[in-house]
Amino acid sequence: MSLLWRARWRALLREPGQSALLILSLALGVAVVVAVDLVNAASRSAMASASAQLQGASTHRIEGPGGGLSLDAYGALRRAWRAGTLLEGDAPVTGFAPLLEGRLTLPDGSPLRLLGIDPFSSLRQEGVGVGTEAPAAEAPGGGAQPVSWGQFLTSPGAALLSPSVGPELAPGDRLPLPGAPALTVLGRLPGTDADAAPLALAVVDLATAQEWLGATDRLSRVELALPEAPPRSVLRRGLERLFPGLLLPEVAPEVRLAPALRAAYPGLQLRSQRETELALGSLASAFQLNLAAMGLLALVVGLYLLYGALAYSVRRRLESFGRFRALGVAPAVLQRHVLLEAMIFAGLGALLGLLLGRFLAGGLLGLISATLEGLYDQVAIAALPLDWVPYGKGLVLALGGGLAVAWPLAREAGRAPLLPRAGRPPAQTGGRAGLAFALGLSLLALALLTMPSGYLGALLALAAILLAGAQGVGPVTALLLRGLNRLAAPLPLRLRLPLREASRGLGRAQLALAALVVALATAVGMTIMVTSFRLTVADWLEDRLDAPVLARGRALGAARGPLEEALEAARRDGLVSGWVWRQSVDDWLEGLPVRVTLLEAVGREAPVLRLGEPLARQLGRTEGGVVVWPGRLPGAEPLASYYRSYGGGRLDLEMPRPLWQGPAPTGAWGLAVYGAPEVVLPRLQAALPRSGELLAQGPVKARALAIFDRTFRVTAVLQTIAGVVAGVGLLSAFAALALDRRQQLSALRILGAPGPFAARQLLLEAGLLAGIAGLLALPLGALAAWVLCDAVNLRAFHWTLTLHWPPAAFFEALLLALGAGLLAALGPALQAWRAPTSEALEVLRAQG
Amino acid sequence: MTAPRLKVSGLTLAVGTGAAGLTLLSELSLTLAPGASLALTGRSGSGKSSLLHCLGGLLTPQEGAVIWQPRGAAPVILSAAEEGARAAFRRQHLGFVFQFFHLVPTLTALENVAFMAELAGLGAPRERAEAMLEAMGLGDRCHAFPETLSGGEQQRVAVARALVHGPAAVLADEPTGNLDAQTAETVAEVLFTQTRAAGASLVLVTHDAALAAQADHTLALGGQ
Ligand SMILES: Nc1ncnc2c1ncn2[C@@H]1O[C@H](COP(=O)(O)OP(=O)(O)OP(=O)(O)O)[C@@H](O)[C@H]1O
Ligand SMILES: [Mg+2]
Repeated sequence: MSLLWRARWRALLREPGQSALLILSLALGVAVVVAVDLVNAASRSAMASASAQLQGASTHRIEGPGGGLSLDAYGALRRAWRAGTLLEGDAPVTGFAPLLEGRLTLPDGSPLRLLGIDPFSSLRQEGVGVGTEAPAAEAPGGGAQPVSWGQFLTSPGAALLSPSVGPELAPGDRLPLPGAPALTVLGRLPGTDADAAPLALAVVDLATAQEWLGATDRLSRVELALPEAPPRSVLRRGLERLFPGLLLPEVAPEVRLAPALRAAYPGLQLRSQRETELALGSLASAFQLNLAAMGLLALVVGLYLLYGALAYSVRRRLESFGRFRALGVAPAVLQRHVLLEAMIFAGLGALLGLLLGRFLAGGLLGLISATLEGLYDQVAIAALPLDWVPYGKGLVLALGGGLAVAWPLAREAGRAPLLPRAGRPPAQTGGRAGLAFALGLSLLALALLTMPSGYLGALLALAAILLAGAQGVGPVTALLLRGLNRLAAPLPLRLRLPLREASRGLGRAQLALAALVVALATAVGMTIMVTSFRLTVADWLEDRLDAPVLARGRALGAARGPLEEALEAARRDGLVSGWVWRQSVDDWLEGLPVRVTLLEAVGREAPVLRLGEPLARQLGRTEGGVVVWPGRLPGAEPLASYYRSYGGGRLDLEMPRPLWQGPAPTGAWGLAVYGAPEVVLPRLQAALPRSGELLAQGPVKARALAIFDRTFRVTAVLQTIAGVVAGVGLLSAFAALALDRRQQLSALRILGAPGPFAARQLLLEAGLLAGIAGLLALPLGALAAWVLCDAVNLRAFHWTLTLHWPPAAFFEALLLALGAGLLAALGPALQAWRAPTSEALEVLRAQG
Repeated sequence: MTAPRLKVSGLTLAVGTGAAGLTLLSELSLTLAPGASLALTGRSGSGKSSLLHCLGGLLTPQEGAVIWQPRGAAPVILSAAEEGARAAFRRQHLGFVFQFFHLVPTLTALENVAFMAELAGLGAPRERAEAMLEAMGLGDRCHAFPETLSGGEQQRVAVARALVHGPAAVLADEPTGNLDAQTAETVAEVLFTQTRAAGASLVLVTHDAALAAQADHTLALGGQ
C-alpha cells in the first residue's frame, strides 16, 4: 500500500533524528556482540596456536613424577612406542618426541627459553619440519630459506631463534650467552611476524640442550600426538562456535599408559595438553566469560530500545491505523507494514552494526592481546579471524530480535480500533503485564540460584534479574514520581510541572530509562565484582607471597647446602628471621590433577596440610575433614581450613614435606626468605647456582596485579560501550519528550514565560527521570554484583571473592545517570532557549 | 480624559522575504481606551493574527510603534523593547486567549490559572485562581484536568488564566472559533463581562460578526 508508506515516509522525515538514533542504538548493540565474538575467537585461536607453538602438534605429554623423566623411563617408553604398546588397549599413537626444556639468560639479562628437540622424532616441533623434509625457516632478510638438518646436528650450538631474539643477527652469526657456550644462529622460527609474540625461544638439538642445561641424566617430557579425540557433543561444539568464551574448557577424555609401564614406573603421568590449557586458563576463562556476557547484554539493551521505539511509534499511530482500516485497508496489510518497517530498521541497524563491530574489534584487539600476553607470557594476536559466524550471528540476532519484537506490535496495529477515541499517547505501556513478567523473571532467577544449575544457570539468573529490574523501571518510577508529586505540593508550580510532565513522558521514555538502568546496574555490578576480585587477589598475593625475597630455579635443591649456610649466617646476624623451602609435585588426587607444594619452614610457623579453595570445593571438603591418599600420605590425614587460591585455577594443596610419601619430587624449587631484600639479596647471590634466580617479591606482586588490571580493562571498555548504547537511547527518548512538549512550552512562552524557562523545564524533567533511573540502578547493581561473585564465579571457577562495596561505584553510577540525562536533554534545551519567540508562533500555527 | 491604554502609530508589518514577501499592514494607527474592546475582522490571511501578535510584542513591525500604558506604571514602547522585557511585559500586563485553548494538560484547571499568577510574580496564586474560576462559573471544576473538560469549559479556564494577574489588556485570537454556536455565546459572554469587570481592555480577532458587534470598536483589515 504505497499510500501507507508515503504517509510513513513523511512522518519519518519530520523526525529524522529519531530514526537515526534508533538505528544507531541497535547498531551499537550488534557491534558489541560482533566485536566480542571476533575478539574472543581471535584470542582463543591465539591461545591454541601459542600452545601449539610451545608443544608442537602434540596432544599429550608424558612426565615423570614431579615433572622430569629419567632416561631409563624414557627408554622403556620408546621401546613400548615402537612396539605399539604404549597406551592402555594399544591405543594408536601417531607421534612421539622427547624434549628437554630449560632456561638460559640472554646478554641483556632477560630469560631465554631453551628447547632441546630430536629433529628425527616423528613430531613437528615449533612448526619446524622434521624428518627428511627441510623446514621452511625464515631468513632474517625475509624469504624462507631451507635449514640443513645436518648442520643442526653437526655444528655445536646451532639454534633456531624466535624473531624477538637478537633481531639483527643473521644466519651464521654467534650469540654469546652468559654462563653457557655461545650459540650459532641457524635460522629463524617461522609462524610469527613482527607484531606477534615477543617470546624469546631457542631451539637446539636435544644433546646440546642436555649439555648446556647440565641435565645429561634426564629429559623434561615426551610429547605425544594421539589421533583426534572423538568429537565432543555436537551441541557443545555448536554452542562454543556461537558463543565463544561462554563455555568453560572441558577436560579431555582420559587415556592411560599401558598397565605394564605404569607398574614399572609408578610416577609416570600421561596428560592431555588440554589439561595444561585448562590449568592455565581459569583467569582467561573468567575474562572471556565476562566478555561474552557483556556482548549479549549490549545486544539485549539494543533490542530493548528497538522495542521501545517501535512500540511507541505503533501506539502513537493506532489512530491513523484505525482510520486506514475504516477506509478499507485489510489488517494483514497493516501488520505487514509494521513488520516490514521494523525489519528495515533492524536491517539497517544490523548492517551498520557489522561494520562498526569490525572496527571495534580491531580497536579491542590491542587491549586483549596485552591481556593474553600478561596471562600467558607469550601470546599475541596478530589479526582477526576471517570467520563469518560472528557476523552471521549478529545479523540473525538483530533481524530475529527485530521480528520477535515487532510481531506483537504488528498484531496490535492490525487490531487498531476503527473509531479511535481522540486521545493522547499512551501514558504507560503494559503496567500490570509488565509487573507480572518481572515477577516471573524474579522467580526464575530465584529458582536458578537455589538449584544446582551451574554457572550458566547463574548467568541466566543474572540476565533474568536484570531484565526483571528493567521491567520494573516504568512502574516503580511512576510510583516514585507520584510520591514526589505529593511531597512537592507546597512548591511553586514551575517546579512541580516537570514532575507532572515526567510522569506523562514516562510512556515514551521508560524503555530508554530501563536500558539505562540495566547498563548502569551492570556497570555497578561489574565494578564491584572486579574490585572485590582485585582486592581479594591482592590479599591473596600478600598472604601467599609474604616473604620479601624469593629464590627459584630447578637446581636450587642441589645448592641447598651453601644456601642454608648463607641463610644461617644471615640469621645469626639478625638479617633474616626465617625461610621456607618449597618444591612442587604434579599428581592425581581422587581423579583430579593437582599440584602439591611441599613445605619446609625454618624459623617460621610449621606448615600444615591444607587444600586450595578450588580443590577443597571440588572435593567437597571446605569444612575441613581428612584426606586419604594411599602411597602419598601415611594415613587419613586431618585437614586444616582451606586457603584461597586464584593461581590460574590450578587445583593445588600444600603440606609439610615430611608428610609426603610419594615419589621424590623433581620439580622446581622455591625458597622464600624473610628479610629485607637489599641485605638478603647480596648475601645469597654468591651461594646461588647458575640456573637459579633471586627476586625481591615486591615487583612480583606488582606484576601480578598489573596482569590482573590489564585483564579486566577490556571489561571496562565494553561497559562503557553498553553505557553509550543506553545513552543513545536516552538521547532519542529525551528528544522525543522535548518534541511532545513543544506546543505547551510555546504557548507558555507566548503567555510571557521568560526565555530560559523552557530549557529549565526540559533539563529538570530529564534530570528527574535520569536521576531516578540512577537510583534504581544502585540496588540492582548490588544484586548483580552479589550474583556475579557468589554464584557465577564460585560455580564457574570454584573460588569465592570477598565482596567489597566501593562507595565510589555507586556514586559514579548516580552521577553518570544524571550526567547522561542532562547531556541528552541539553540539545533540545539549548534549542528551546535559543529559539526566537516567532518560532513559538510557528509551532502554534502549525498545530492550528 | 484618561490616557489611552494602547496607542499604535504608523504600524507597518511585512512578513516573509523576497518574492514570498507580503506587506500585511501599512501605516496603521489606532488607540484604545482603558476597559474598551476592539474587534479585528477581515478575511482569512488579511493579517488579523499578525496585528494581534504585534500588539503582544510577539512580532516586530518594520515601522511604527506599539505603546502600552499599563495600570499604575510608565508607558512602554513594546515594539522597541528587548525580547526579555517583552516577555516580562506580557506576563505582567497582558492576557492571551487562543483558539485552541492551549492549557497545560498536566495541570488542573486551578493550577493552570494559578500558574499564570505565579508567572506574573503575584502572591497567593492559588487563592486568586480559585476566585477567578468561581467568577467564571467553574468553581466545581477546579480540580479537573483539561482533558476531562468540555471545549467551552476549557476556554473559560483560559479566560480565567488571561485575567488572573489583573492585566492591562486581553488579546484573544478567535476565542470562539473552535466552539459550537451556543458554547461560543457563553464563552463570549464571560469574556466580555469578566474583562470589563477586571477593567482590562480587550482586543479580539473574530470571523463572527455577532461577536464583533459586541465590541466597542471594530477594525476591518484587508481593505474591507
Ligand atoms: N512568518 C511568515 N512567513 C511568511 N508568511 C507569513 C508569515 N506569517 C504570516 N504569514 C502570512 O501572512 C498572512 C497573514 O497571516 P495571519 O495569520 O495574520 O492571517 P489571519 O488574518 O489571522 O488569517 P486567519 O483568519 O486565517 O487566521 C497569511 O497569508 C500568512 O500565510
Ligand atoms: Mg489568524
